[in-house]
Amino acid sequence: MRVAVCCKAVATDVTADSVSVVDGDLRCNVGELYINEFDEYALEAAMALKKTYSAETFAVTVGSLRSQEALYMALAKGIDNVARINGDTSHPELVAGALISFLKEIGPQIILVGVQSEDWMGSEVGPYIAEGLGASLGFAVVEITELNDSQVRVKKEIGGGDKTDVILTLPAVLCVQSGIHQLQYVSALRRRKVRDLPVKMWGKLEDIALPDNIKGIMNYRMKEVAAPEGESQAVMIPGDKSEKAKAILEILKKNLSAG
Amino acid sequence: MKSIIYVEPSEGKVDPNVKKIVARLRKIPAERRGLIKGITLSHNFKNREEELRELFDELVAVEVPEEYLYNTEVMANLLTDLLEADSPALLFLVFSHLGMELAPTAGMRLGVPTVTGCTDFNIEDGTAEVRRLVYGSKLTISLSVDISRGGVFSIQRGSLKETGAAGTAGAVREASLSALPWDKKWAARKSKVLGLVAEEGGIPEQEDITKAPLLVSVGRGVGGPDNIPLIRTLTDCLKGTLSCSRPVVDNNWLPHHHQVGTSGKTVSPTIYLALGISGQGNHVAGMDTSRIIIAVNKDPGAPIFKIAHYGVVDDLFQIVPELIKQTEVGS
Ligand SMILES: Cc1cc2nc3c(=O)[nH]c(=O)nc-3n(C[C@H](O)[C@H](O)[C@H](O)COP(=O)(O)OP(=O)(O)OC[C@H]3O[C@@H](n4cnc5c(N)ncnc54)[C@H](O)[C@@H]3O)c2cc1C
Repeated sequence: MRVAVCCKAVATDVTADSVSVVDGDLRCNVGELYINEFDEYALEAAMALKKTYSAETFAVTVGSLRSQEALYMALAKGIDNVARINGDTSHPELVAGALISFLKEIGPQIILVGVQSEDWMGSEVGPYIAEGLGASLGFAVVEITELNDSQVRVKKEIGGGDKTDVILTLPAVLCVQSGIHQLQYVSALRRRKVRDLPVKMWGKLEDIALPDNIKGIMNYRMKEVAAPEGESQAVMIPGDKSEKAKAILEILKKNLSAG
Repeated sequence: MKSIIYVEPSEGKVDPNVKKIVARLRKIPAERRGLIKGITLSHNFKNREEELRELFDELVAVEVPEEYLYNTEVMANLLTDLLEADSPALLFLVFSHLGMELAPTAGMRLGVPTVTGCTDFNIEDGTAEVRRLVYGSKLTISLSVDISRGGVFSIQRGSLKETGAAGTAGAVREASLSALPWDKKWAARKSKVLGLVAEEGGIPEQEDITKAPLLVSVGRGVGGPDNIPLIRTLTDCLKGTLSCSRPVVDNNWLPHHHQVGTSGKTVSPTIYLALGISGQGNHVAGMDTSRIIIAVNKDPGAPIFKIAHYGVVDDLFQIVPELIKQTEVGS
């Protein structure tokens, strides 16, 4: 059984000044990148499959050298193999296209993807990969309950607090929801140690031939990035902590007693 | 070119977000967006017939066997099939769990440009001008989409501000309805839905967040489980009910029945006091109809301030003890 995790390193502390559109793509000049939170949960799910089913685990990212942070986290958690596809893009279609090529080569039965990235916030990469591989798709998976050579059984959210119990044929792409397992603490020493391990560069984004439907879905142009339009509607409460608390209690009193 | 909207099955009334998409489309000249067509499942059509007929120019209610009602593979199969028949067309979905899954799947199958989580859109000649949020909803990006071959767009809940779906004042519309029988080619091949997972039972009435007039809601900003008792004390002092954002549940600091948002409960209290919650779309979708939202957040750029009625930029660990102190003194 092979399990692959697609993970991404993201910048979290951005402002309108640190992000811009350059040559039709988002460029972010924030120094430090962290593993996308939903992908960290996907890594935990992979580790659980490794323990229960002795699965061989792979983690792959598409990004520049800086994005290897995501792979170091994967190694520190105990993932067996890591690979990076070199290239810097925020286009989810390009990322998915590159991942599809990689995944075709290693042929995993289970592909785990975080349900959303904290930067692009689009939730597209998992479904694109499933389509590109002709695999089954489980979106917002909160539990993997059974796995055998031909099927996986999962619980997935469908919104409003509801979940369905679903059987998917393999290969399956599972878009992992946060909270699927508790995030395991990884010590700073362990994280430092894995930085000495080699990270394989699998290929370059610009060399990968994209399928036609990937080119079709990309038929848009990024124009401009900015702070969201429209001023905040909120009345900002000034003062020291005592004045702020007093003002909050007055709002409560006035509106709750009025019913 | 037609504009097609997938109306998700829902309990009660038609999702207000669907109505807002229609209202936005009606503001765009008909020669640019074409007829507005709704696709729904006939099981969803019952009891909503009038509401749906008034909304659309054309309406298709598809017969889907009971066993497939929650099967997203089937929904993707039938939706792409119907879209192909109307090609080139624009497909609009709500950015719900189902919409998140269906939009990219349909877009890739049809090979047409796909933009998810849109907060705004307009249709020009041959392009759609679209906005969406990025970076934890702190920034927005504008995109120009070539729609000459069609397109797929999912719309962030609560982002369109249109009121009234008809758009044109006084217009009475009666959509022509086609009832579409089930076609075996849409059947699931790769998935089988065994059923809904039974809900956790036995939620104490005083913890039912959907009925409370005052919600004291806590987010990741609370820092850890050791600080939850402080928030509980405040909740008790204010005679409110405790609710939270998703990370609080993911980290096991509070049980799931406290969660507000797209994968938790939708709430609409008189007052929603948000403590250390950033205000991202999936949380906001569950509480933005609260009558008064008061947000306490130490980041002045937190998106929650865009929807709050009152804002306090401060450390919640300064404000919460002070609220407790003043309530105790006042009682
Ligand atoms: C499919 C899907 C479904 C989802 N469903 C839900 C859902 O139902 N509900 C939900 O909530 N989320 C949901 N999410 C997650 C959602 O996207 C956000 O990740 C989540 O809402 C963030 O929670 P938060 O605001 O508590 O945390 P964060 O975004 O991390 O924000 C924490 C905030 O606390 C502030 N803060 C930190 N310390 C302090 C302090 N001492 N004093 C004051 N302020 C402080 C920070 O400035 C920050 O704004 C879903 C996501 C997906 C992809």
